[in-house]
Amino acid sequence: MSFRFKVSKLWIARSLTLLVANCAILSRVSIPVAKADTKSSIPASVGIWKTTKAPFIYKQGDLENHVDGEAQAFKQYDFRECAYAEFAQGGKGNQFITVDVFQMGSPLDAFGYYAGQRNAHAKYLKIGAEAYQEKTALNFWKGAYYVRIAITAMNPTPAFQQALPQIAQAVAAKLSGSSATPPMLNMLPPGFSPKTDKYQRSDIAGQVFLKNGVVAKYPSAGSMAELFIIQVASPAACKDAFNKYKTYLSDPKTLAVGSKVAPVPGIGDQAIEVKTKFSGEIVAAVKGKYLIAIRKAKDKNAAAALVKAAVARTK
Amino acid sequence: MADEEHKISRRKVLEVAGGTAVLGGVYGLSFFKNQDFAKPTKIRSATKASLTTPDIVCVEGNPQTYGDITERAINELGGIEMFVKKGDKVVITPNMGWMRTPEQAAATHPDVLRRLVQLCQRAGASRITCIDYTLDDWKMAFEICGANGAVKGTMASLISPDSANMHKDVDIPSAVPKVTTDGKAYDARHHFNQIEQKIPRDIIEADCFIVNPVVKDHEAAVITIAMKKLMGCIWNRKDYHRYGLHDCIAELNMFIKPTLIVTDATRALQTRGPKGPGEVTTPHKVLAGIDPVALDSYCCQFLTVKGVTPDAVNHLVLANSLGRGQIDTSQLNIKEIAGPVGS
Repeated sequence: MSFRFKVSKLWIARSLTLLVANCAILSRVSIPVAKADTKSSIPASVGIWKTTKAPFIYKQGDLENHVDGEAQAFKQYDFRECAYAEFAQGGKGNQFITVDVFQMGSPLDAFGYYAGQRNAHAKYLKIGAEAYQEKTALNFWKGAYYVRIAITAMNPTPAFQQALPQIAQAVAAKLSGSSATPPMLNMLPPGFSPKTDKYQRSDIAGQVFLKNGVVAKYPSAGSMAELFIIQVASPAACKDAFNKYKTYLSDPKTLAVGSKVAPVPGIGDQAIEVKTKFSGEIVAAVKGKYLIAIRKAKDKNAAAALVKAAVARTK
Repeated sequence: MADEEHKISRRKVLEVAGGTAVLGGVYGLSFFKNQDFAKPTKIRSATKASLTTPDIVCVEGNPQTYGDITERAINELGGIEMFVKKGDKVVITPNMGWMRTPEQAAATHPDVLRRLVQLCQRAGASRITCIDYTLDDWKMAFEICGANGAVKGTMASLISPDSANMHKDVDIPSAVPKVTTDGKAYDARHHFNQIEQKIPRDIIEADCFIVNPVVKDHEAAVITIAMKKLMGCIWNRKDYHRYGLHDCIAELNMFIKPTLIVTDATRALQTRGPKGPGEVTTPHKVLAGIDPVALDSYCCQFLTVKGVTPDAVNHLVLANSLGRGQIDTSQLNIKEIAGPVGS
């Protein structure tokens, strides 16, 4: 009896150790849980709409086969995998509604990719964190997922459009994750055009060294005026990025005829303004580890005021 | 000792002989490989009819006149006979690679493509081939985007060059300058990353090569218009995305120089390019020219939703630095014909 008790204690101890170890591993590796989410988020049927075959999974290595060059852009937002399926009425024929569920690295990445493609003038719906519907598409994001649903048919009947939100709701219900706006977006000062706020991972303003920032359009400084705020690892690295940007802006190929880079006093640690050949008036400032700039502005004073307001919001 | 020396010297002889054989083999292989590189040298050079001929013609129409404004744009450059000669093998590369309808703007409008084909046929082309390496199923893509309908009843054929034996090896770096126009050393991305490339035999053998893109947003390349359109012809696209997309696009455009570019801006795909569906606007314009950098730079203005400017498109900036064309449109002779107009 005592022998059995001893074995049993040992067994319990081993089991507990194994359990703790498994928990530790699972807490670090969240992918397996999310992986199941991606594929299983696509239901086999929604009303009369049935998948023509089982969802196909694309990974980092073969996403190009599915979306061609866009794969490169997805990967910039820490793409993990994509579940793809085609729905047809009764599951037959070649008139489809296609569904792509893209799993990204984080909710910020999912929001970033979604927001970069958002249509400000579309009809917005309460599906997932945010959704909008166009004539032949419905897109939404939720948690670390970006979902694209599209009509791929020659002359779709109204039933195709009606099915878009139904399929979207069914997919969203199966996806887990937060629907809160990523906190980084709060750095943007008020006054931007609705649905133009986005998170950009790289190539902000076409510059490879400007990455990891929030961007939005501010009509008060011009119809195309765009403000960006970049968060850099340290003030020194930020100063370095600022100087690179200044060098680019000072290039004769960039400068508008007769223009030159001029200092703007009273904004952040250092600020400049310049008129460029392609991107209108630009005001740029550095404050600690934040680089803030507005480009494509028409009104220089309004642009400077916006940069000042953005600088004031940095911590 | 003498024996030992003899042995060593024999070994040395063998080593030298072996080394020579290996090097010779490598050299020989590279020599023969170089012999296999093809060049699209038959393609007629792009030329302007006269010094006063515009660099870019932009004609505005309406959905009923897309064919007419295509013809008008080409006429303003001197007419199709400037570019297509009797008996020419003509290759056109339109966008027709996706299962998207014309209104979704992922493909060249069928009316624009059809008129272009008809003009080439009228000029006496002996063969007209429309090429785009489709990602979607080519049969479905050609049907849904309207390309099948566009060439129906004409002599043109549609091809998706989706197997390696439809292509030939090419040496892209051979056409890329080692110094930029502002005097900086430049090492071709194709050379640096040893990217091997193939392009369709049809293009190698063409007398006239016409690029016929639609204006689109591209999530990775920022825009896809005339310069990026060349990627719709090549065999190895993956390495471009892996190693430096913008550099590769610019270099490819140093290697393949079209005779004529006819850009379709009747609709512009503003977001979620290149496939969409995304936001679509309708500038109702067709443009013609021979400088891909200039045309693409000018067409950035049609991508209004994201507000694309040429300086934010790195392949335009680099191609300009490599001397391929003019990014600063204020330096160009541009003829804008407001519409709607017919031919």
